Amino acid sequence: MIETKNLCKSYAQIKALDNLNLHIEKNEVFGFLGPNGAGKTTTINLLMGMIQPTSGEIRIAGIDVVRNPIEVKKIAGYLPENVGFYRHMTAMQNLTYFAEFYKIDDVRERIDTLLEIVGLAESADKKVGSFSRGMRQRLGLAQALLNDPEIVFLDEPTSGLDPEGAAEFRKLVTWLEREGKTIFFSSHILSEVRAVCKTIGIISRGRLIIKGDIKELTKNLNDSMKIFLETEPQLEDESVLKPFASRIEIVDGDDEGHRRYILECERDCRVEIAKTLFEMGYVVKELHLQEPSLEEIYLRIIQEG
Amino acid sequence: MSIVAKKEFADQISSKRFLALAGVILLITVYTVYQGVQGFYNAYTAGMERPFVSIFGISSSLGFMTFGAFLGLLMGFDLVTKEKEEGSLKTLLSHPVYRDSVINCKAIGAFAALSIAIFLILTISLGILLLYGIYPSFSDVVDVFKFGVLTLAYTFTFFAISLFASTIARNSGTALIIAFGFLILFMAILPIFGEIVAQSIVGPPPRPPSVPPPSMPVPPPSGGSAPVVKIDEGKMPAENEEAKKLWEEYERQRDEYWKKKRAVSDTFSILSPTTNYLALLSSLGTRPIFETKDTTKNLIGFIALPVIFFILSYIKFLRMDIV
Amino acid sequence: MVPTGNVKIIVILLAALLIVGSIESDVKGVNAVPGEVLKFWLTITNDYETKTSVKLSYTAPEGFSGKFFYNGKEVNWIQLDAKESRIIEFWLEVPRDAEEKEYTVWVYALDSTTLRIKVRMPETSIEITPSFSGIRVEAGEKVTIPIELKNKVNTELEVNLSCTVPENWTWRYLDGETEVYRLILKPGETRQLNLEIETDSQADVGEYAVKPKMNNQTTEILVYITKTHKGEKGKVKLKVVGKDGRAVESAQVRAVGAVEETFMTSAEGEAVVELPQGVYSIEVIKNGYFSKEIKDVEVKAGKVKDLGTIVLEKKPYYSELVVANPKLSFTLGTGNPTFRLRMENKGYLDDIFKLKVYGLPENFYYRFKESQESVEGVSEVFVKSGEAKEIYLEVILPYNAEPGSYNLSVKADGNYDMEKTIILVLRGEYVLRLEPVGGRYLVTAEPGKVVELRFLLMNSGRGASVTNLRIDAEVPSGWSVSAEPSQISALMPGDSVMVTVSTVIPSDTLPSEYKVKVKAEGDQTSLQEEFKVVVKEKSNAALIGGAVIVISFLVLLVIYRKFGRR
Repeated sequence: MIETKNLCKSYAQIKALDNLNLHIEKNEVFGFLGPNGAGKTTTINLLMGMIQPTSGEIRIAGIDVVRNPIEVKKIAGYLPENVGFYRHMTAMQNLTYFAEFYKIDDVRERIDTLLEIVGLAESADKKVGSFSRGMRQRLGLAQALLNDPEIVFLDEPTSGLDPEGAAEFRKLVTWLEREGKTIFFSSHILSEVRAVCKTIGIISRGRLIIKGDIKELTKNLNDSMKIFLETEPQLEDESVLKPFASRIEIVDGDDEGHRRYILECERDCRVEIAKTLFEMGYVVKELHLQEPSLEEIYLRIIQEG
Repeated sequence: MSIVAKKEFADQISSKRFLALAGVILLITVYTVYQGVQGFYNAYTAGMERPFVSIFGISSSLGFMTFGAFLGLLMGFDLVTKEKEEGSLKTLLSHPVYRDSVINCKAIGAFAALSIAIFLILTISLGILLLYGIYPSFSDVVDVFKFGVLTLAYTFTFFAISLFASTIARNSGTALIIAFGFLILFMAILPIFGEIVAQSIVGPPPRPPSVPPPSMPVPPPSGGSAPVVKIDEGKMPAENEEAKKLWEEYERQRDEYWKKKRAVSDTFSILSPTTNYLALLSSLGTRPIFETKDTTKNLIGFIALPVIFFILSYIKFLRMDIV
Repeated sequence: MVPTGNVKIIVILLAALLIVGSIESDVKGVNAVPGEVLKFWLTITNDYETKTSVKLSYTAPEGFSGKFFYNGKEVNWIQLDAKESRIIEFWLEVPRDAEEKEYTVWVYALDSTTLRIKVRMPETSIEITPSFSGIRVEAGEKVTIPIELKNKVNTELEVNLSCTVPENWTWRYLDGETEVYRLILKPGETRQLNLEIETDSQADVGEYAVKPKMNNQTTEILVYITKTHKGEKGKVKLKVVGKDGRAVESAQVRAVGAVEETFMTSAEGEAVVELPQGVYSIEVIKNGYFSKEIKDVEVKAGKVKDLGTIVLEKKPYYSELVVANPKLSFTLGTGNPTFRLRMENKGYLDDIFKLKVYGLPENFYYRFKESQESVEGVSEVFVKSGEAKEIYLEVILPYNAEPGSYNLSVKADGNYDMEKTIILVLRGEYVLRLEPVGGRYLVTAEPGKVVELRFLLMNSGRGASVTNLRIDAEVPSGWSVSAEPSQISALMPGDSVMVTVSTVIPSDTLPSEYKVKVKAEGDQTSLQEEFKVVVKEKSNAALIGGAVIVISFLVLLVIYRKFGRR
């Protein structure tokens, strides 16, 4: 579905993208991982035909994107990072406007359906300016799906979303996958990618470092979960945490000398931890996952690779 | 193509800025027309012929000249920057639309909005004139139409300037500042600068000869029917002849000097849409009774400026990094 | 009696030959005044032994005359006895015109003796004694000063009387009632005279000297003027009466002199004429009387000169023609003008007059009537002496009489011919009037329409028609105008013409109020009236205007419906 050959993009001496070769199959959910500034958005822009490559070829569904960007746009949907809309227009108006670029038989019905899908049916006639980030993001997805695209580009779709929102978004992606769409999911958060993607590629400084099946990759990464915990009052005995963690690291942090902990776990067991501590009379002040950074993964890959 | 234009047009006519400024212009124009009607009446009853368009207060700069410029400016300065700020441009461009059509349609939408505003303002003014019993002749209507076209071009010039500012600026605030900078540059600085440049190029004016000018026939005092004094040329003394030659030479040089200086300063002021607008308008108001000033240069400058700015905006927009 | 030259020589020879006696005078020289008679006593002695007759003679310069007396008798010869002496008186008269010098006179009687006579004018031969030497008097008054003259010399004096006075003063000497200017005083005689001084009325206040002069002797009298009449006029008073003793009123009193003035006598025939000081000739003139002239009337400042009663003599034929209205202004068309005349016979005989008028233009007629209402004309009028008659002169005007001023003269020819100029001023009254049909000066119209202003043009004047009437109108620029009729050659008084002034209001005329000035100009007068034309907007203008505005807003609404967002 997506095929790039030696794709290069330079901005005044700086190589934003260096010899990118991608091959994504139809109905593949491809996670495109990389730190900020690694070239993820540049890649998507190139794939969408929104910018011209310095060299190389792009083919999407057999269409030469460089020569025929409009054709690509017709079959592709794009949710940009921090998607923007016309704030003075309502969600409906925005979508109606964008829908006009396609030949859609019943625009109204389509938009209603999409809004229903993304959960914005009730906010259809609200001005976008008043939307929260999550709402915008969902509207962005609706916008990307207006033309019932074969391929959907999602650029950091969950960044800045609350966990609930992010989870809901993941559901939508899963739904899209079921709909048979090819999904190009870019993110700098590994867990996001891992949750939805079958295959991933990791990009750093314009270069694709690694590409392949996510399971294989995670195996390779020898990954484990890290959970950050802070309670009120301070735990008297860390041993209560032993059943969950393979390793307990004590972090001295705040001004009052409260001890905080980083637990290394096999899986995400935050619910159990919270429950246990609550029953013991502790209030969980903070409890969140600490992802292994891509840098770490990257470094690990480098070290291991 | 028409999709973007339609949206842009709708944006323009729905914006409070546009409505407020067009409303202000409408009010000023209606007031000017009301005053113009009085003046027209007074002139008419005094037996003087006044160009019909003068009713629209060509000389009064407030209506279209100042607020029209503002309108054009405020319609354009954030067209690109706002989309960039909102991120809507990127979203838009992800849909099958050509980039150039976006900028073109922005211009078309603004142009249409301006056209309708000017058209309606002038139509309402004409309606008011009819209420006062002033029947425009066909040529009057043509003049008013020309007036409208010139005004459209004038306001669109400022739109083009601010659109350009919008394409080059990082944000709307900067764009507004840049646009106003251009406005001031074209309206005030350039003519002054032209004067200074002309002065430095042409140098000081020629000095009059040290000899006193030869006696000239005394013109009869105005109003009186005093006989014109005839000078017996044959009796003019020789030194007077000399002085006459010197003075004639001086007058020739002086005229040449001013012509040259005018040419240089005109070159600069031709870049000023306001100057051109006024020049073209006054040529519109005149009938062959008066000496018609050649306004070709003004017309060229008047048309060239918005075109140049639009082309610049176009190029800049196409090359713009949207990310 | 006076010896001739020959005789003298003989006597001298004889004496030289025959000195036989002597003649002696105790006085050898004497002083004398001219005209004085000198007396000498001569002692003649006969030295002869015989009785001798002695011839008495003398030789004296011309003018001197001498006489010999003896015992009171004039003698030429005396007889002397031998050795006898006798005293003879010799009177010698000094001529009046003798000069002041020494004269020698020889006296012969047997012998001769020399008498030296020194003639000398006496310094004060007359003693002048005025009664006063200082008088206070008002200017113009007369003063009489008694003066006593005394002959101080021993001879008869002839005295020339004169007097030096200030300018314009007069003087005269009076002896009783008689004015004298020369008199003779016997030796030693005293005479009383009156010096009358008439001071000048205009003399300033102050002291003046009056110097009476008797021959070469003078004295001085001071006259102090206490009050002056300088600058004042003098008055001449007179009364004029006819021969019948009746006062003549309104007689002209004409004084010709330093100035020329004419006065009239009052009903009592009296006139008081004020004149500057001077000498005048006064003439009294009265129509019907012969005039009278009084010459050399001296008028003094501040003084009244009474000329008394002046009697005038009546002429036999004299009449006066009086016109009550000699200049008559008359408006044509109001009938005929009438002059009122009055003929007064002031002569002492009756008279009959033929009446005529000269100077009337052609087609003008006249008639004299005895009363204003009368229709009968008279051509001759009889007026008794001392009576008057009223006559009316009616000028019969032709209908086409031209306005103007006519100088006519009325003549009444009788024994005394009279003529009077009268002026008849004929005026025409030119009044044009304009009356709009329907009485309205305001017309309402629409642009593009024709407005007709209809009015009656009338000559409401009298007597004369207005000619060459041109009718025009002043309209706002761009309007066209025409008048029907535009020319009227003549409009008779009382006549009227219907005029229609049409003006086309251009279709682009703005609704407003416009003025249309209608003018009618004739040769004699003109008229200008202002009509107001209210041009209203075309009835559909407001509709169209409103519609345009409404449509504009509708278009706006549609645009917003279609494109606008809320």
